[in-house]
Amino acid sequence: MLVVRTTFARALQIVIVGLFVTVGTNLLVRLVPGDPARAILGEKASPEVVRALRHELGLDQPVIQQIARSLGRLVQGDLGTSFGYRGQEVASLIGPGLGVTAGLAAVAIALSLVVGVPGGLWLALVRRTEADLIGRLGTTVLLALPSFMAALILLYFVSLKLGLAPAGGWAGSWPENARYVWLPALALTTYLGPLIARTVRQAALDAIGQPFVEAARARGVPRRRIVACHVLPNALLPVITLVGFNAGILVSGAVIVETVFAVPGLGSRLLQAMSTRDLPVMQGIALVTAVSIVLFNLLTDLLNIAVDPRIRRTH
Amino acid sequence: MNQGGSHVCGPSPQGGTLFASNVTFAYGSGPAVVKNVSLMVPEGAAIGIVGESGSGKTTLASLLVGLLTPTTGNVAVGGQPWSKVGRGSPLRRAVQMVFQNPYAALNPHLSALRTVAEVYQCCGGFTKTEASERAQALLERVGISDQTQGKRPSGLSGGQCQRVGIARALAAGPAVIVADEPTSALDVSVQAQILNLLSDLRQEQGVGLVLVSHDLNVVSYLTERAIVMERGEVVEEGATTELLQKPTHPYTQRLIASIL
Amino acid sequence: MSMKHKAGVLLMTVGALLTAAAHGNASDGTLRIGIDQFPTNLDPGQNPWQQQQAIMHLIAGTLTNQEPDGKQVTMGLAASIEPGDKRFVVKLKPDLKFSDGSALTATDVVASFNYYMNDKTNGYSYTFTPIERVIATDDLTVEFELKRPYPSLPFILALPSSEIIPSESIEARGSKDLYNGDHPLPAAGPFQVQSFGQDQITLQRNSHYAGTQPSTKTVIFKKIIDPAARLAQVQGGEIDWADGISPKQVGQLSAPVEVRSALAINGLSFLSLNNRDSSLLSDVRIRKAIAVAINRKQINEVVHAGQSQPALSLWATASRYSRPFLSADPDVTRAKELLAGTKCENACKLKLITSSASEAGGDTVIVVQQNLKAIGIEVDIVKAEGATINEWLTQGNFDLWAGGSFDVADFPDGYLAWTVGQANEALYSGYSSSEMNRLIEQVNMTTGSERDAAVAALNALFEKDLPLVPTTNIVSVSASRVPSEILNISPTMYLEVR
Repeated sequence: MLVVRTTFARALQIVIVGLFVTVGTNLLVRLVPGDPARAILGEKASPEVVRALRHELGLDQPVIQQIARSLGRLVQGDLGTSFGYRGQEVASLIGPGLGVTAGLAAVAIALSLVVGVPGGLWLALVRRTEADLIGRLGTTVLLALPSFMAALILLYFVSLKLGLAPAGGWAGSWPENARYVWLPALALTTYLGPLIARTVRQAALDAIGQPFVEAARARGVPRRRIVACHVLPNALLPVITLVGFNAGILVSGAVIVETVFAVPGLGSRLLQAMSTRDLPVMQGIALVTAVSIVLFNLLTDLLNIAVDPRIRRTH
Repeated sequence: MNQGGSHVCGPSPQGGTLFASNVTFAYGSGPAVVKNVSLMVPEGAAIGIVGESGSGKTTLASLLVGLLTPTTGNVAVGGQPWSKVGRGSPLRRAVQMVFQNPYAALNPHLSALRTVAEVYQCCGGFTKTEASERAQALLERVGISDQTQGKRPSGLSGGQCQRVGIARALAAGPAVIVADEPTSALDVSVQAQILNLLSDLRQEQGVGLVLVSHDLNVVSYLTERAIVMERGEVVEEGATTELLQKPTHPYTQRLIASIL
Repeated sequence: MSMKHKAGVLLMTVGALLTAAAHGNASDGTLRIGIDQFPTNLDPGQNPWQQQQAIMHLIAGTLTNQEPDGKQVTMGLAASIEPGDKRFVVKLKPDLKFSDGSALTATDVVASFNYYMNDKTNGYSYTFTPIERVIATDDLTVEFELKRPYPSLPFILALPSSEIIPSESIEARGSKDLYNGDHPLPAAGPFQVQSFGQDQITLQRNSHYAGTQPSTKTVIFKKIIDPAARLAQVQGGEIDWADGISPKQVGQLSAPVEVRSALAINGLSFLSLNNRDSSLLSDVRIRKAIAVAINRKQINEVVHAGQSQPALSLWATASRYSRPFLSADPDVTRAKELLAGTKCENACKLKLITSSASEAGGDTVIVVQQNLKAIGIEVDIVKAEGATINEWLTQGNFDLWAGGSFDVADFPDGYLAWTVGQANEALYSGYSSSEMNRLIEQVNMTTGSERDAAVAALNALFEKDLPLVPTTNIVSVSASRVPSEILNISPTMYLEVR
């Protein structure tokens, strides 16, 4: 029942988000100056030509009518056609970018888990020692570091100075992308990794103080087994929620990191669409991003329901 | 780790005497919360520790179980001080604890069955199937039915959780069980059942019991002797019935007054 | 050696191997070019931006070809062009072919121009307005009938926007699909589109190209939006050419990467001044004072790291029409004399707008602010995103704008229209002079000594009215790891691939 209810709530959220994003981007793009037709034709094209293109793109219709039209299309699952990539479906234009960003985010999440979970656990085990202090200081510094800064630092040292990774780019297919993905993913990890480490550390400390851990100690259960069986599973729970709630931040971080490493994800798509005022593409990206985040949250919810033994108390 | 064999999980061969002599304990550099307490739990005996909250009785319980190390003084089990008892030693399991909060006492990830089976598997050297069978039997004995055994703590009532906690303690084959306010977090209707269970099990298995409680009535129901603690010190000591009927210390008198 | 060291060395070795493996290079005939703006379709009428043009230029088969110096054209698909007052006769080379091997004849030329002239959304429509009609008199002969003399036509015919496309395709595919990058039209330029993505465009040498075959087999354009990222990639060997880097980064380049730069043959960076009555700058004396107070050497040093040159006339320094009258150094005394009796005599405040995306614009305005402070003019710098700037310019909501304009070759028509003529109100300055318009017409319609005289008169009028203040030449700075004989940027601002 809980699963059905959660899924339904998130589905409703998607509808609302879709509505807001569509209306919002439509209005926003019209509030800020800049004419898509002028962006396509350049500053030297004559006003008559610009007018003709505006008509062709439907930009000369009242805003309400344009919004109604995009909503109407959206209901049919149609994101519309691009202004710049003439005659091409928005969905087909942003689909590959979505895949790339999702891939980058997935690798970043995986790296963050690989680094953050053992790191946080270790910090909990060495609590209140110098190592713990240094570790916590390190995570604080990393968390304060903006993604683009981390990206530039990594690009400079790892790529240019040490030559350990390409200075950006993308292979276009897996597993060849692995060569390109790890450095930008690492840049994103500088944020998510420490966050996970801190969360795991705190959750592990909480678990260590619990009577069931004392009971295990009283039975003489080996330390390693206490950590593996009693501390770790409980320390992992908040991580799921943490990653889920940080999906949005991860995506916005990805946008910046993608630019630094020239990764052809949604971020690059969005920048291009914004510079040319390609309204349907901007709208499509905003929508896809928003919906992905909601879906990601749904996944988090379901995962939580599945693994968090404390949630299903009602049934 | 373990040599295997059923006796490993049974009462330790050296006998179950738990002995605390002149135990003082302070957290870090803070004031002593347990001061110069001596206590002996003979094999199979039941001792009560009574006091208000903050009297140091829970800390004393942890010292008895060996989860805390005394600042001065000694807690010995079967003649060995805790500091000499290794993690893998059978003596390590001679004193087990039952906790106040039955939910926090259980790992939320493990089902009732797994919680108990893990003890058999880990300290008894039983195979998974054997451990599971034994755990089933033991849980049945403490009143957790077959259908309930597969549930995790979130699916159990407080009383059921406490029964699982008791089963887990028993599975380790202890000589003494230290129960810290085992009923204070439970509904009144369930409290008596748990107390009865502890009483029955004690008779049946010949296990010693240290019952920590603020409630003299509860203590008198289960134990023969008791100590009364105030601010970390033992202020009165004696047979439980006498303590209840003729308290000499004003603190004990106050405690009795509060329950009447 | 400790374990840690061993691991470190191993990592470095693996990394070096991976990096080495990634290095393609010019020796296998492939060039990888990092560029920040891509065409979104292959419509020659809708890809006006410099980098879009650079790509379109490699694909488009045109009747004439632009020489890299920007000063003259040579024959392309045309074997000869017989110019006339109102009629140009173009003879095609025999046996011309599109990249798919199909024949290219006069029919295709006529169909192409008819299509462009009738396309209401063609951004280059102004290049076609003087043309009355285009007809084929036989398979190899095309006549351009003109409404008025159009001596710049040979330059126009070399533009990618005058690309010859197959007449069959125009008929078979609607306008929506004609320029779809997913299935590009057969083309007649040196390269053909092999794949057209949003982040990578791959061009393949066109074996049917009528001109000299380039030695480069494949050109891969990679979209890398951030200039620092482009620089990092050329330095790291991921690409061979980082287009349009900041001149200030030139010092960071290390061998084998070298700087490549070119000054535009036709066009300048300038301060566009709001000539409308609403602005203090409607007073020509203040405009002139600003022109005199500006330190062009300083702008070149600060903004372009010395890679450009001060602009001393309406035209680029290398243009055949240039007649310098400004000074590279500021003259504060003269500027203050000019301000006497104006509203800025004691002090005044001007709004200087610039695009937040343009590093050069951002640096220019700071120098300008400094320079004008010396003559008592306070400058308010307002940065905004490009599209917003456009809006303000059109509405006249500014006093000064750090901008510029350029054309690909040294012909006057477009550049004059945008700077001092009527096009878009002379690119937003609001300047409008019937005398200037008459002179522009004369320049555009004459040749030889007649044109020289008209240009002289126009230059004199520009000096008198000074609707805008030239600052420096337009420079494009790129970083390359391939010899300039294989890939270079020319004064046309096209990429020259050989």
